[in-house]
Amino acid sequence: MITMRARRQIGLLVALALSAGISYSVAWPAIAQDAPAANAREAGRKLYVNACQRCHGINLATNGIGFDLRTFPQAERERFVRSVTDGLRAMPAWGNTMKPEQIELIWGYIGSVNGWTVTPASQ
Amino acid sequence: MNKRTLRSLAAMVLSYATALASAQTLADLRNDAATPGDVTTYGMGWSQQRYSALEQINAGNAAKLQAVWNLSLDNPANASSQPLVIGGTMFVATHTHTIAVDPLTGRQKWKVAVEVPADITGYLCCGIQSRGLAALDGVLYRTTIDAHVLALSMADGKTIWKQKAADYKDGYSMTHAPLIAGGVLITGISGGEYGARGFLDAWDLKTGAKKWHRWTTAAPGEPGGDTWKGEAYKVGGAPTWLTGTYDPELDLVYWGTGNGTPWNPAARGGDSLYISSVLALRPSTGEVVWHYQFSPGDPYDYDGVNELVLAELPIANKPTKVLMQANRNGFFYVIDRTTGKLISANQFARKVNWATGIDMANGRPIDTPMTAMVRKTEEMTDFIEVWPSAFGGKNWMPMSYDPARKLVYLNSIDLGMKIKYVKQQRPGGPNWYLGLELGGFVSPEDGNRGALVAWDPVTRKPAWTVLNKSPFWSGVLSTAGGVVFTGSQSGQFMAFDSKTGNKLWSFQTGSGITGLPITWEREGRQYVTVLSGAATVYGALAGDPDLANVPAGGSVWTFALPSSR
Repeated sequence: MITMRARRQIGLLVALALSAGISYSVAWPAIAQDAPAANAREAGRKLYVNACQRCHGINLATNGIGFDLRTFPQAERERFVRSVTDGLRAMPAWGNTMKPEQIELIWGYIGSVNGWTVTPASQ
Repeated sequence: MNKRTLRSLAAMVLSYATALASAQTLADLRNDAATPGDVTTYGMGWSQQRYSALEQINAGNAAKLQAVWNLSLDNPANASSQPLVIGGTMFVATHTHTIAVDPLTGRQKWKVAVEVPADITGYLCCGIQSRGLAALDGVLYRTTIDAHVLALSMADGKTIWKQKAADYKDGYSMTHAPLIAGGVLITGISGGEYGARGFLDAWDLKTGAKKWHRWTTAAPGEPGGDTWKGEAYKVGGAPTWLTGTYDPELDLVYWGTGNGTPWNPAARGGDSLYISSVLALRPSTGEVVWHYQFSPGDPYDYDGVNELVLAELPIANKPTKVLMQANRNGFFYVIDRTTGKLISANQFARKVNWATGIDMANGRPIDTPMTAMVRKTEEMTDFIEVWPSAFGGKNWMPMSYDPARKLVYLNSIDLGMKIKYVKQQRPGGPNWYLGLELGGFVSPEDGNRGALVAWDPVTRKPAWTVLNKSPFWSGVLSTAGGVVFTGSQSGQFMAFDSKTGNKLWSFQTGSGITGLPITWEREGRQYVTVLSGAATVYGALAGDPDLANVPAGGSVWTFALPSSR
């Protein structure tokens, strides 16, 4: 049985596949009932690698350009979404090129690297 | 005559005087290296030797250098720019402004904004930069990060003309200083991480009308067109993202090209001409007279775009016009710039594992088995460790050539990288198109990730080496006074003894240094100016523990010996 949480993750992945324009020939990992979180994390990671890593570092480890996302407070998801959407200082505005679902996937990836036990995306 | 008329007359006289002070001719550009009082060109001369005949500051007194003034750029980007000093005014380009400064006091004369779209920085692969200006006849020329070319009045910064070179939403941007050569303004383009197709443009200096356009990837039917798979050339890179050099006697411009896109060489197939090359062009027409490709197929983002420094070297006991490049691929090249013939190519990076050398018979690298595998494997299963990394044995920060000592001073990088090539379609928009997984960077065992190296281009070995934990990401300046200036990513601006490499002096600025130091003279006093301000892609990606807690924040610093007055 597919849980509500899994349905939401699948929805995000489908939305991503339709809208991201990022299409590795490597197939997206099969969406299995027991692995939606891993799939979402991988989708978020790929978005992060293509769009964010060059300023925010490999696995969020950075000493320059971008905000150190290892220190971003888990409780301030809205601030994160606003900064990504509208831009902040050297951060470009991603609102025109990135869908809310994609920003959500990146937020989930950041949470997984930071060891947040329950990310807001999966609540 | 009433007061109003008098005021108007006074304003006209002042305006005329300002115009006179900033008047400047082609002869000034040609003689920039020989007239050390001012700095009229990017590179301190068309040869980009970044050498000055000034010697008031010398190895014996450099320890007494003092800060004269500091000017905030109000800007968190890389302050990786080289100022010009013309007719008593210093001009500085940032990505948001063009600024005129009184060089003696550091006071701002005028500051004019560059309007850029809010999402543009997503299209900049490697930090936000604006590296400098060109100038002629009272006009400043610059590029903008959203791929426009601007002509501005030196007197007040007002726009004279503005032209769009490309649409930034196609992955294009511009971060370099234009070059004035052969009666035209020449500009390149950035975008090699986004699937942009490289090109060079020439513009009419007065009107901004486009004079010629030269793609830097070869299409089918053109020479080199068969070195690409299918239509890969259309998104194949070869960006021209740094400023070329110019030999007015040969009437040739030398311009480097960058990596292929994606980095994954098997996805492009073959040599992918003219990526990672030097093009020798006739500036009036854009005709390519000769080319040399440093890294055929460019398997590891090594580019060929680093500065191509022109000099006369004794080769086989004969004075020879050469160009020199310390390529990211770890080899130092000396090329006969009249013919394009390779004279020498020797390893300068401490560790190289992608090629065992350069075959002097055909000018091509001798691949190691790892590179031979990479060239034919579009989809890899395991990570490999490559030296040098994509940061290169040296990155864009320009070296200096001291013609008196016949030594090159360069900031080298010693890092490896872990990569795994994977298939990727071009994502478009502000997303990287590399065709690889970047697993991280590897430090050398001794922890020294960079060095300031004095390289002898004739004997092809270092004269001295100063190792450092974090590579210096600043340009290098050398002087007849026997002093080498450069800056560290932790913010120290430093002077070294040209003969020995001994550190003579250092000063802690407010951010890391990515600027290009210059020296100039006014009223009998020698000054050294550099921009401080670092937000580099190295800092973002390399995981360098020694750069934690270095803040961003651009500013201009000027130094001199204590005034005797």
